[in-house]
Amino acid sequence: MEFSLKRSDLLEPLAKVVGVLEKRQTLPILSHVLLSVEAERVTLCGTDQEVELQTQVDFEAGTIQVQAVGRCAVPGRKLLEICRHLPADAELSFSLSDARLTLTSGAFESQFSTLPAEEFPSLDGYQPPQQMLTVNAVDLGQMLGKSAFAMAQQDVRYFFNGMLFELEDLQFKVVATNGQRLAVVALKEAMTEHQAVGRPIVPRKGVLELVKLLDGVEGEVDLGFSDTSIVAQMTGKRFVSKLIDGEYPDYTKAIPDQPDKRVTCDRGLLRDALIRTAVMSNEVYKNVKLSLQEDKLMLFTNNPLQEQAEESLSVEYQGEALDIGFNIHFLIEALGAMSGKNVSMGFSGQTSPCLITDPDDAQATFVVSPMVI
Amino acid sequence: MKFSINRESLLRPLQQVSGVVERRQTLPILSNLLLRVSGSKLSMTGTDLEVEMVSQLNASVDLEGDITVPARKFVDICRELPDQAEIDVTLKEDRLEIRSGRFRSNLSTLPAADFPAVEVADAERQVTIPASEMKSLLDLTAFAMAQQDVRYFLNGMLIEETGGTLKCVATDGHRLAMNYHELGNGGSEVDQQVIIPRKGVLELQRLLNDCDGDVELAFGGSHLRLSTGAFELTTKLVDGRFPDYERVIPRNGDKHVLANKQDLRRALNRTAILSNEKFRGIRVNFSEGLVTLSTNNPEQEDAEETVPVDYQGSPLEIGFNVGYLLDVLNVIRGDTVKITVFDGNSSALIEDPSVENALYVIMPMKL
Repeated sequence: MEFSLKRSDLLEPLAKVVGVLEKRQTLPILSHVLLSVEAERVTLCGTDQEVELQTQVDFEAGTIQVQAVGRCAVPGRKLLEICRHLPADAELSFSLSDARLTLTSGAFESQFSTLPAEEFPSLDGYQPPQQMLTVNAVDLGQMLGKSAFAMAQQDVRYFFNGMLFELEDLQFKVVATNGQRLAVVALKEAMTEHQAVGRPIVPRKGVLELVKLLDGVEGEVDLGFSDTSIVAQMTGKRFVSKLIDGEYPDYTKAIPDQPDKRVTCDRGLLRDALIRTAVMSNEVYKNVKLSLQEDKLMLFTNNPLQEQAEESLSVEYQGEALDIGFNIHFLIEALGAMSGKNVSMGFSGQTSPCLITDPDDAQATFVVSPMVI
Repeated sequence: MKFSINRESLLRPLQQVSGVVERRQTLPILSNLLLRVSGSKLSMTGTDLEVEMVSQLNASVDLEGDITVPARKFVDICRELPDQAEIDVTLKEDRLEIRSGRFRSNLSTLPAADFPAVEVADAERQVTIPASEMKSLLDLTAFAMAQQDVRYFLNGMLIEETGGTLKCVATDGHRLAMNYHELGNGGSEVDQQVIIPRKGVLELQRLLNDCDGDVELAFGGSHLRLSTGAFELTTKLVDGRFPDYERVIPRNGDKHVLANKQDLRRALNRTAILSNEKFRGIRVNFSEGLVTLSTNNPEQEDAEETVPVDYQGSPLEIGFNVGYLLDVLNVIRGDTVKITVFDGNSSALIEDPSVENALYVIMPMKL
């Protein structure tokens, strides 16, 4: 293997791939990046055995010269650090001999120990995708970005530690919940043709990596999934994540239909007021009491030290008075995931969940369960 | 106690003062701030028993008094209130009520009498120095302090007033940094020498970050106090004898290397990546007009780079901890760095040729 290219050709694809590597790993090969050099293609691949990312060096600029093809696995983080510290316009030459990769650039020369490409793990049980659909990258990024906060972390109900991609009848929705709060976001425009059907659950790490990867990407993403994995393909990048093997519960039962008490108010003001009152909330239960009266919403928190905070807000509300308790952070996070100026909240009673929607964005729905106060 | 104050004038001083308060402590009162209202002034005090910071600001006072409140919660509330909010604070029995617009909160309190005051004997000597100079002295020296060394006096910084200069010295036994400032006051009759603890140094740096004008340093028997006008920071001193740093500074070096600081720093940054992660050794070879940096690690990986320098002399090889070299190059401000060595077993002296009152010493390392 022997090739040369500009630092700027390599830096971004390499940084993206190193981003999925775990900082600490048990197998040495998992700290490595698979470097594959073909006549007209240089690809990099990194994995943590749950997700895998492959990036491609852009040949368009014509600054890449391949003298000899080959493949090897090199220590990813060290290679990235060296590239970062080379001058911006540096020319990098790589050559592999006797399992040692030499990198020269100007007066700098270094040698890396490598591992054979054959030892590089590809995702276990990976099957070619059977179901395919194409979506806009910006739309997908927003869907994931608005709902990712609601996923559980290290819950024994392992399917909650991920996100449901629900595909049926020209509809694509993502769903995340931890059992106490729920986020459902539908694709902006319904698909025009029947593309795929299924209910894959993408694990937390896969979702978060995909959000990172979609940041700033425009154009289209091809999503494909099989029984065990999901693949997202965009220009120059191919991302694979294992799926969580399990049945996602029927979340539609958790969404209250037709709550009779409807409140509308400024989203930013409500969120700021919640953040302030949260300071005095019980550190364990994080509870807040909401008291609804005509055109007025009162927030109230207190803690075992007998400290308390309260704030009242002007809202649009006509209906009977209601006192209801919530985990204050679930409310703050749901409001933070939304983007519109106003928020609409629907209540049915003290023991029924609260439905939170954005009057300007019908695609996103949030549900927060009440707490006993 | 009852006063009101604008959020914008309260927030920054409040954050400064509560920065001293440790997140975890054994005594509940140490997580509190002392608020004292008298005349037209509000004074706020935070302490961790080693470092104490007091801030004085104007407030519209309705009723004088003093009390202590949980620092973190008080800061969080003030931070989350809207810009320019007017904050009304009233003590009601043992609760401190904070009101602003339609927000109202009650904080728990502890009596002001329980708040630990740092007892300061009268200062023996006072020195005035521009804040920017004081900050620069600390910034250029602090990196060389030890951390959790059993030689507890190394976990701090020596501040010395001698012969009309104010001098800061720090060392961890492997490297040393020394910076001084000419006070132009003719000098005092007695030399002042104090060691301030690491936490005190870090808090001084934090305070001086947004400070201009002159500051006053007062040397006491067991404390050092820095006053900026709006703030007063008092730190306990470390009781111990600082090593005789003059003996550590090599004066016999006869080989002088002048290098471009950026080029050398970047080359060190690159080669450092393949050095041994634990010992971080780098081999430095000086030869006519060139310095060659080389590293290797237990994985049999290696890196090498040559940097052109100004050097006439016999070839010399010397090993260093690359982190120590980088620490020095990161604080030096000039474009050129001067390295003076005697042989491969002696400490190297590093200076910034454009600055007279700073020097750095690094011990060599056997590779």
